[in-house]
Amino acid sequence: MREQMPTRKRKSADHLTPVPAQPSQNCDILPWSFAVFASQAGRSDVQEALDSLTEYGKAFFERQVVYLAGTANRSDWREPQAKRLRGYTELYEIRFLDGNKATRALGFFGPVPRLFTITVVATHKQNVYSPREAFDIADRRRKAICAGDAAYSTLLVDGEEFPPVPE
Amino acid sequence: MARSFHRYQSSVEARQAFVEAEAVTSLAHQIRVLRTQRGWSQADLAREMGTTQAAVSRMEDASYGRISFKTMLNLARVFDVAPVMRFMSTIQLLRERRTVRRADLEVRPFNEEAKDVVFETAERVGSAMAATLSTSVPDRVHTVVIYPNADKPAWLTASGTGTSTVMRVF
Repeated sequence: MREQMPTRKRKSADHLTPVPAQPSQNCDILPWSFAVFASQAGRSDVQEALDSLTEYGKAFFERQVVYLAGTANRSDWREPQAKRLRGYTELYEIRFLDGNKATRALGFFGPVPRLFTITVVATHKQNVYSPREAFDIADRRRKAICAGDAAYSTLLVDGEEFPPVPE
Repeated sequence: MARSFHRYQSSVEARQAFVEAEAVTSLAHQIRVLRTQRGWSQADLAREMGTTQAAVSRMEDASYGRISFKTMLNLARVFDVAPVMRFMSTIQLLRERRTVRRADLEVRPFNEEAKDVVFETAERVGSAMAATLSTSVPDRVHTVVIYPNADKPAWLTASGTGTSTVMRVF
């Protein structure tokens, strides 16, 4: 049985300390695992945003994650599937459609090896992000996680760790 | 995975969304993998296909999702691979695409793979395998047996490293 990272339901103070990714079958085989930002109270608005996508948006996001999880080199996380964001240290976005809305899952590689943590979900239209300060929020949250002032939890789809453990 | 499966089971919309998203995403990612596997830039692929770099960029964009049958055949031609356009069980697709690694998407061009193809007789393949093959395929069918490195029979080991393909003609 594999151990999981702290979940957003965890209430004790130690959930604020990032827990190193546990060795698992998933990590052994797939280059990347995924996590989401969680507040000090253990709530994850990122997970909530992903849970509230349309069926197509959810499916599109899941598929992009599955394919990017197998894309080992960060340099291959490129447009149009993903993009490194200019002007911000280590910020990337995963690109997908939610219906016909261009949607972005912003995040960073870390805070532990082989982990990509999503810190904000935003929409994108004509070069304008919504929320407008999406990059700043993503960067602020990255710094908070890395400083141990915020937590992160395993990315869930239908309440289960995603991507799933390879067979 | 079990919960997602139950969601697909109870919602036609959910499973159709999965099928559509998988189709456009896998194709976009595989085009990029095949291109970079060959060391080509988007401009190189565009030149081979007789199109523009912008068009190649669109093909690698899962959000585009409107690649034509003609373009698929053109891609197959320049990559020197075979496109497999068929319908399959959604459950099988779910199993196959549960997780995907780059190696799952790479395909060698014909002439590169052909170096590892060996034609063999039934006697040489071995009686056990010959018996299996002759009961599972009709006569006069060309059967391709691909041996992963670890499962290669001793007589084939000398023929090279990596995966080997045995073409057996009945």
